[in-house]
Amino acid sequence: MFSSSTEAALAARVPVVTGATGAKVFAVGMTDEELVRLTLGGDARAFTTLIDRHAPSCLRYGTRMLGDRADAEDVAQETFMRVHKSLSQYDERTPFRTWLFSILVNRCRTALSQRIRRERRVIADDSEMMLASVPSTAQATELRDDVERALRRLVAEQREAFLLRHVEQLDYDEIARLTGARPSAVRMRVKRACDRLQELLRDGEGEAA
Amino acid sequence: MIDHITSNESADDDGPLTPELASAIECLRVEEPVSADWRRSLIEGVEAARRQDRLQKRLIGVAGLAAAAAVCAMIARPSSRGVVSVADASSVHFEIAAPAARRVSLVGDFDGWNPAALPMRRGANGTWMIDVRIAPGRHAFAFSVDGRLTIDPTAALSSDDNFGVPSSVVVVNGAGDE
Repeated sequence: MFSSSTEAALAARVPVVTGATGAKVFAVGMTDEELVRLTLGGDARAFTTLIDRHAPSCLRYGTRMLGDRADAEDVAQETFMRVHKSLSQYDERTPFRTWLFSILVNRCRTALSQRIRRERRVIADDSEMMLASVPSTAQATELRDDVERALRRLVAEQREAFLLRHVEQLDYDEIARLTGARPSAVRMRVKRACDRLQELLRDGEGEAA
Repeated sequence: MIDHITSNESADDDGPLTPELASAIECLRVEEPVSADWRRSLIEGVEAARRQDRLQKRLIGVAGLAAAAAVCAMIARPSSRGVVSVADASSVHFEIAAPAARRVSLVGDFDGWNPAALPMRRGANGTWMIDVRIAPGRHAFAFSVDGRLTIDPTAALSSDDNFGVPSSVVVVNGAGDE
């Protein structure tokens, strides 16, 4: 826990606001690395702030990568638990988000391989697709469904590279570091994914049959 | 927040994106909502892990103390490690590991802090030792290792009122003091 002087210092420089889910969170002015240090110092609120800050993009990556919201929730939860367990090993020379995603990417790979082992589960069911979608206008939902179907037609390593580059907006060196592939290989995967997606979207092959 | 993507975007050497692909990426960048149940379940899981971790650390601490107690019990003879009981004619055993040292002696209030009074003998493994008869009571002591005062790293007590001289404390209980 904080000493009273630390509390006062934090209160002075860190506005506390109400987060989207109604919880009080540290919102502004603290880097991820500062929050990690506070967590290691025993402040549970700091880790909750890290969850609130990164859960939406983790769930986004998991949902796009696995094609299933429930699987994405499982994977994101495992990821945060592992991050919490290994927090003392975190090296601040790597951005926290990159470290977090390296764990998330591995969890997603494991989930995909387990899924393949227990029989491929292709989500072509529109009702399930709707569960994975953000409520939006009908037109936007239709576009997104088409895009997600097209995305799922990519091979896993291309989908992974494409999502990390264009959706999560990591740079090529970061992607190479967290996937274990060479930067040139990552670039090639992203390019092939883009070409294939453009082809699918242009020809309407991402649309449901 | 969604960064707007134009068809001319070429970040980090990516080629220009077609309008279809740019729209697709913009669509995919919409963040997933976090359900309150999922968040609560995760935070509860983290809190449970924290509690378990704290409990394990406490158990390790208790196990460590138990192990230390066992070691102390194995040292049958009185030693410099903290409070010792000495029955009348027994002596207190002092030892320190200093493999690289050339000369080590025991100094304390019982020998007038004289480095020449109680030279220690070197054991085979670089441990220096001496057995000394000390009168019952509380005694400040240190080791003079090649002329430098060194406290006993294993002593349970240290003295902070010895005029700035680093020293450890041994309490010798005479017969009937316990």
